[in-house]
Amino acid sequence: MTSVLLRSLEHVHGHLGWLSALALCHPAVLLRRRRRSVLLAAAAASALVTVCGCLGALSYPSYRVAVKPGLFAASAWLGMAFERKEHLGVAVVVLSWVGLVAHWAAVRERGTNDLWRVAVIAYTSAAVLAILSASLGTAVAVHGTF
Amino acid sequence: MLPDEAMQAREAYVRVASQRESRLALRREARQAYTTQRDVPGLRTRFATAATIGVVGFLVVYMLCHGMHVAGRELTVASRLSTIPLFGGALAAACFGTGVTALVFACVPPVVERWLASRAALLLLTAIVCFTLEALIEP
Repeated sequence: MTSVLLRSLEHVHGHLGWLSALALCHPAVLLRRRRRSVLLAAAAASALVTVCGCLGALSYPSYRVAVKPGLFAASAWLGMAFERKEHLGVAVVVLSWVGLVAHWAAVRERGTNDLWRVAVIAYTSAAVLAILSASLGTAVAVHGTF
Repeated sequence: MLPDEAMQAREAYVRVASQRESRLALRREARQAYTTQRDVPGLRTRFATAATIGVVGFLVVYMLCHGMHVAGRELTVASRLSTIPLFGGALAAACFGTGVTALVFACVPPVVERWLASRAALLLLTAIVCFTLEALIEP
């Protein structure tokens, strides 16, 4: 991939990352009220997070070669911050999907509150981790980029 | 009271009593249906519970792969899946999580499934806290 394409990909990934973090807050807040169906918002947030994660995964191999060594040379903390961001990003994608599945089942089969609790925990955690991940990513992007 | 009035009163009483009886029967049926629905979870509930347990498995295996990577070792399966440790760990954890989901969905009896469903939220929360702490403390 050319550096222009990688830079564009990185910018889109960064902006989508913040949008996804905000989008995840929506179901996390709405699901506090039991028996409320927010399937559309939850599905949209999960889809946005997944697209953002795929863009990140697409640019990660090039990042490892082109940016990571310089980043660690400049500041070990920044390099570690990016590694933290990657791990948290993986968790955000997985949690948003399990939250969606649990919410879908809880809406369709009104038998138990257990799945409702799972959906609330998954979306709230995903939102918190996404904000943390986006903040770390922004801090890193200020110092080092393609 | 005249015989006609007595007859009418008796009919009214019988009508009200039968309506009350049918209402009670309906309520009994509804309660029974609700209890049956609660006792036998549907496929969606079963799948969601299995997926939650699968994600807990995913997070645990991801933590294991990451911990081994930090310690200077690589899980053989993860290193075979991808040369990049992050991708290798994620893919290995995804394979494990999918397997656990399929296993719980297909093989676990309803009694165990109900037990898992009641503890799924706690298990997930514990796994998330451990995962976050590991990612923040030892990236």
